[in-house]
Amino acid sequence: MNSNLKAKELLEEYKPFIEKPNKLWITKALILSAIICFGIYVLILQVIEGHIITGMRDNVVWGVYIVNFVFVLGLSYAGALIAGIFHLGRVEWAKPLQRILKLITLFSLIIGPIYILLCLGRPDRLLYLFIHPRLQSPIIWDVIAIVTDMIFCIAYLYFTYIKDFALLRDNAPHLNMYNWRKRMYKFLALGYQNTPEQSKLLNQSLDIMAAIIIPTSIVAYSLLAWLFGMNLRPGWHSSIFGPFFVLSAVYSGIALLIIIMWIYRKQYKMEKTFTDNHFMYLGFSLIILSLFYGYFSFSQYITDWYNIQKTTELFWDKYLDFSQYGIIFTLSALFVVFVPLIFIGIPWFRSINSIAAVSLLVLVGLWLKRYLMIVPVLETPYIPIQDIREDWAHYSATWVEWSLSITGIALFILFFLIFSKLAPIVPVSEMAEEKGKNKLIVFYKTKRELS
Amino acid sequence: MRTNYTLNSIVLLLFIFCCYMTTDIKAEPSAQKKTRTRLKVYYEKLSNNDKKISIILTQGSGKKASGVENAEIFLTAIDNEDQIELTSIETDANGEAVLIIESNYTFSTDEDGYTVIHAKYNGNDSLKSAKKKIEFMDLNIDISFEIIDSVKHISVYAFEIDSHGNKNPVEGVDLNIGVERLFSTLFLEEAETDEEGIGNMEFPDDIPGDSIGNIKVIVKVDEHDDYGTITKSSKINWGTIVEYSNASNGRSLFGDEAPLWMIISVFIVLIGAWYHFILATIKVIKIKKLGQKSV
Amino acid sequence: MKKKEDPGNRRKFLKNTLALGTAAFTAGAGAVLATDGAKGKSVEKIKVLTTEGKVIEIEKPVDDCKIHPCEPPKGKEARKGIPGRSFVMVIDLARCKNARKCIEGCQKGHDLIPSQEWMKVYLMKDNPESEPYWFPKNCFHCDNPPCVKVCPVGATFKRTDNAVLVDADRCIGCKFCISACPYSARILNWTDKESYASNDPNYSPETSLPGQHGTVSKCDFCPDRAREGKLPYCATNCPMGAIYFGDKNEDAVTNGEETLRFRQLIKERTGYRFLEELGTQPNVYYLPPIDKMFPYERGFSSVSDETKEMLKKSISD
Repeated sequence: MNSNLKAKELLEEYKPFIEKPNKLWITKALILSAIICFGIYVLILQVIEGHIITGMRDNVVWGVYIVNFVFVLGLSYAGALIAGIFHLGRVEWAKPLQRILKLITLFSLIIGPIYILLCLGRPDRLLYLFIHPRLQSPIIWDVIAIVTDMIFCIAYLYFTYIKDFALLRDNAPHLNMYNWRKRMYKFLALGYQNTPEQSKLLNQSLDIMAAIIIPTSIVAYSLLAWLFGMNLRPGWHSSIFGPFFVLSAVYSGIALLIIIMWIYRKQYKMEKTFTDNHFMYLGFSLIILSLFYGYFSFSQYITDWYNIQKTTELFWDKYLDFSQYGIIFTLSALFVVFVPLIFIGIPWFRSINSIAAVSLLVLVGLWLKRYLMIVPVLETPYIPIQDIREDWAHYSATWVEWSLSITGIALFILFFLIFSKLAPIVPVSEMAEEKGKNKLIVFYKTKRELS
Repeated sequence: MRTNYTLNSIVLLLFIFCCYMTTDIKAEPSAQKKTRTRLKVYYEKLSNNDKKISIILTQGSGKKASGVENAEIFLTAIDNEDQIELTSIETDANGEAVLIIESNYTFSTDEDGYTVIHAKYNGNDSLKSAKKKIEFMDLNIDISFEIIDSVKHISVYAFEIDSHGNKNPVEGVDLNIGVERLFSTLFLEEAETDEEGIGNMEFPDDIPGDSIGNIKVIVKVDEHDDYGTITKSSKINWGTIVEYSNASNGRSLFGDEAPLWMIISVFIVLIGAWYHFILATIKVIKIKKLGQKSV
Repeated sequence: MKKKEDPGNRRKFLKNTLALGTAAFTAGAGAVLATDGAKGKSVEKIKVLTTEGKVIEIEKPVDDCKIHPCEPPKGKEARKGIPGRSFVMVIDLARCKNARKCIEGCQKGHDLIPSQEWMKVYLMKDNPESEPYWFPKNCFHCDNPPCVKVCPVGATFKRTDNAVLVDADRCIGCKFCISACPYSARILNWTDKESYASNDPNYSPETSLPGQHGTVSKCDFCPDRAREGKLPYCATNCPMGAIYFGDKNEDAVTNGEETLRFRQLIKERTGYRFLEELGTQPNVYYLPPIDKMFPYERGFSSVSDETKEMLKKSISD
C-alpha cells in the first residue's frame, strides 16, 4: 500500500535515532542520571532534616516547590489541549509535532506531582490522600483530576504509538537493535496489522481520547487555579484565576514545544521535519497568546489598581518596589508580553533562532509570574507579619529547593532522551497516511457514509 | 595611802565594758541571721458545714516571697485560758496546709462568742518562727427558693445557734449570690441580711442550666470580720435548658461528610469522562483480538 | 446531737468542693502560679478533725474532673466535642500590656519551642490617627472555618463544642490549611524534637501532646483543661486578666478572678470579632481598647530593642 511504502521510507530516515545508543547518548544519560542521583540525596536529606532546610516558614508555606508544580502542570496542556485540538482539527502541518506534545504532557504529569510530594511535611503519609479523602477539599478534586488526566494521557500517548510499534515490529530485521527491543515492539503493537477494521477502530479511539482529554485537562488545571482563587487571601481571592491559568498553560506548552523542536532540529539536523513553517506558525500563535495573556493581565491589574484596597496595596507596593519584587515583576511582564511582540512580530528580528530564544524567555517569564503570584501574596497576610527573623518575614529559596528544581529539569530531559530511543520522535505512520482519509466523525452526514 | 575610788570605779567600768565587747565580738560569728517568715491563716466554712483552716507559710518578702515546704504548723484552740492542742499540719511544696474540721465538732468559745485558734511555726536553723491567731464565730446559712407571682425568689437566712440551740438571726451580713459555672462561679447579686437575718434576691429567668435545667445556686459570705468566709450551695431546677446533643456537624463544606449534591456531581462528571475512556480502550482491545484472529 | 457522717460521703463531697475551695484560696492569696503541663499525681494526705476530736488522715482528692471522662479522648472519639459546651474567648484589649505571659504559659503547657507561638501578640494601629494597641491573637475557632474546608485528609475538624482541633496522626503536612487561614493562626513543626513521637498511643488532639514532626499545630482552646474545670494556659497566666474564657451555652466567661455574663459583656462593652466581613464567624471576641490601663509603649519593655524597632516600623507604614 502506498502509505505503507511511504512509512517504510520515513522509517529509514529516522532509523538512526532509535537504534543502539551511541557514546554521546550514553554520556548525556550518565550526566543526567548523576544530577538525578544528587537530587535523590537532597530529597532524602530533606525528609530526614525536615523542611527547616528549605526556605519555607510559617508565613510563606509554599515556595519554589509549588511554583514548580503549578508551572510544570501547566506544561501538560501541550499534549492534552494543543495536541488534542490539532488532532481533532486534522491540522496537517502539526502532524510531526504530535508525539513531542504528548511526551511533554506525560513527563510534566509525572514530574509535577513529585514537587507536591516534596512540599509535604509528612511524605510518608501520602497514601492518606487515598485512604482518608475529604471530598470537600480542593486538593482532593485536584488529585482526582490529575490522576484521571494522567491515565488518559498515558493511554492516549500509547494509542498513538501503536501504529509505529507495528511498523517497527514489521521492519525489525532491518533495525540494528537488541532483540529484547524487537520483542517489546511485538508485544506493544497489540497485533496491529493496519487492516481497515483495525485502522478504523484505532482512529475512532484516538478521536474519542482527544475529545475527552481536552475538557479533562481544562478541568484539572482550573481546579488548581481555583485552589488559589477560592482562598480568602488578598491577591488570591479573584475570579480571573481560572481562565488566566488555562491561557498561561497553553502559552507555556507552545513555548516549550518550540524549544524542544529547535533542539531536535539543531542537534539532529531535522530541518525537513521541523521546517521553517512550523516555527513561523507556532511563532505567530505565540504572539496571539501573548496578546491574550497581556489582556488578562491588564484586566487583573486595572481592576486592582483603580480602587485599590488596603492589603492589596501592600503587596502591589512590593511588585513596584525595585528593592523587593520590582525586578522580577518587570522582567516577567517584559518577557511574557513584550518580547514576543517585538522579536517575533517585527520581521527584522524574526528568525528560527529568535523564535526559540523568545520561547525560552517566555517560559522564564511565566515561571517568574507564578513565583510572583504565590510568594508575595503569602508574605502579605491580613494581619501583617511582625517578626524580626529575616527568614520568617521574607522567603528566599535555599540550595535544597534550587537543586531539586534542577533535578526536575534533568529528569525531564532524561525522559526525553529515553523516549526518543523508544520510537521515532515523529509519528511516522501518521505522517505517511494520506491526507483527508480519516475524517472526523462529525463530518459524516449519514450513517451510510459512516460504514 | 588613800585609794582613789573614782579612778578605781572608772577602771572597773572600763574593764567590764571591754569584757562585754570582747564577748560580743566572739559571740557574733556563731549567731546566724534567720530569714523572716510570715504565716497567714484563713477560715472558711464549706457547703457541707465543715470548717476549713488554711495556712500559707512564706519566707522572704515582696516579689521574692516563696512558700516553705514541709514545715510543721501547730494548731491550738483556746478554751477559757486553756490551750487545747488540735493537731499539727505539714505544708506542701507551695507552703500551703489545710485542716478540715467536721461540722459537728464543737469549739468552745470565749465570752464574746469567738472561737480562737492559734497557728504556730517553730522555725528551724535558717527560718524564724512565726505565729498567727484567728478568731471566728460560727454562722449558718439556709437557702430557700420560692416563686411569688411567677417571679422566682431566693431567700437566704443567716443565723447563729446559741448554747440553748436557738436560732438567732444575724443582721447586716453581705451575701454574694450566684450560680456555679464550668470554670468559676457567676455572681449575680449582692444582698444584705435584714433584722430577720434574711437576704432576698429575684432570680432572673434567663440563666442557662444543664440539659434538664438544673442549676447550682451558690451563696458566699466573703471574708466577714466575724464569720470568715462561708460558702453554701443548693440545687434547683430554675435554669433554662441547654441542648446536649453530640451530633456531628452534618453535611457541610467544613463538616465530616460532604454535601450530597457535591458527591453526586463529582460522580456524574467522573462517570462521564471514564465511560468514554473505557469506550476508547475497548476499541483498542478489539484491535488486539482482531490481530490475533488474523494471525 | 452529734450526727456521724458517712466517711464515704465525706470523701465524695470533698472531691467536689475541696479543689474548688483550694482554688479560691490560692487565688485569694494572690500568687498566680503557672500550672504545669505535666500531670504528675502524687497521693497527698489531708488531716481531718472528727466530731469526736480525733485527727484522721484522708487522701487528698486528686481527681479534679468536672466533666467526665477526664481522660482526653483519642482517635475518632476526639472528633466529638464535650457535650453541651460551646467554648468562647473574650480578650480585653484595654488590659493587654504585652506581658507575653500568655505566650509563655501556652508554650510551656504544650511543649513548644520559643519560636512556635500559638498565641501571638501584635502591635496594631487601626488608622493613622488612632493609638496603637497590643493585640493578642490565637486561633479563632471559627464556626465557618476556611482551614477545615480545605484539609484533604480530614486532619483538622470542627467539634460541637466549638473547638477546631488538629489530629496530628492524620496530618500529611501539605500546609493548605496554613495558607487558607486568613488570621495566620496555624504553624508547622518544622524541626524534629526528642519529645516528638508519631502515632503515639497517648496522643490526643485535645492535648496536642506529644507533638509530631512535619505536622500542623495551633491553639486548641485547651479542652483537656476544660474537662478539669481549669481555664486555658493563656487565660490563667495573663497578669492583667485580659483573657476571658467560658461557655457560650452557660453564658459565662471568666478570667480566673471575675466572672461575667458573656452576652451582657459583649453588648455593654461593644465586643467585636476581628475581620468580621470575611464571614468566618470566629469565636474569639475582642473588647475595644477604650480607657487603656497602660500606655502602649509600656509593652516594649518585654521585647528586645530590635523587636521594638521592627514594631514601630510596622505600625508607621
